[in-house]
Amino acid sequence: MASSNQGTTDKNTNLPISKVKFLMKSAPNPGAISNEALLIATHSAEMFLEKIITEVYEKSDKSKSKKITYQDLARSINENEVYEFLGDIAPLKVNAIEAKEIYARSQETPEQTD
Amino acid sequence: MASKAEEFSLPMACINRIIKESLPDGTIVSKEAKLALMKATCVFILYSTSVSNEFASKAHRRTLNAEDMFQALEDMELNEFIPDLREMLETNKSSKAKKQTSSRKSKYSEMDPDGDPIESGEVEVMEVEERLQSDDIFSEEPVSGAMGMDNSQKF
Repeated sequence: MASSNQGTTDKNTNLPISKVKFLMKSAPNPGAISNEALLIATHSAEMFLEKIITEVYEKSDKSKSKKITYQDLARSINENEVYEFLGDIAPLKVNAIEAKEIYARSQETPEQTD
Repeated sequence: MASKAEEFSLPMACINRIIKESLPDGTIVSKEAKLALMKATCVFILYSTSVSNEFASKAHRRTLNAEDMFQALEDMELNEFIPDLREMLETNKSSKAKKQTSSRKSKYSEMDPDGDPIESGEVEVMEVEERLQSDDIFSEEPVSGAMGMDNSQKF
């Protein structure tokens, strides 16, 4: 992992720090950001990515295919409560017929959902 | 609009690299999944900063601290990251400190063996002294003369 990059001190992170800083500044109520916070954000984002992909891999490994599809990712994200904040980023794919059914159901009972 | 959508993104090359490193060889990740992962990390960054911003504003601070980030990660139930991140911070600090000390040492070590620093220092001192003297010459003469004249006339 990071062991390959330990020699170069400035390239410890795989994600570009400037991009991360831009993202952090575009969050609501942006204040100043300390360098330490920036470093933590970039590293934690990396670890987060690794965590998600390894989890998806472990779950998808049981089915014999070696390819990780979007559906695998969406399933594991929607199952885990930790990823609740990802919300609508990775919704499960639904057939058009199923979508129609879901839409019809939501139209039938709008008051209950509220 | 397209440019705005591109702004909230991370380079796919980095994402691909991280995915490759964390998965065993031979596994394939579909393009769609990679895109979704990229967006997910973007949202993770945005969300973690907004949560830590709340902690900072609660403490009446305007700058995001490392502690705010740690608190936010705890709040997000990602405690497992924290020890590693703390280690990373400490190693970063120590490496920075080493860099600074080593750069200072290297400066001295570069200067010492040749005996250059003393000479250059002397030269600098001489220059400063010369400047001071010249300043004195320029500043003293007219002032003292004028002052002397004034004083002598008044008293």
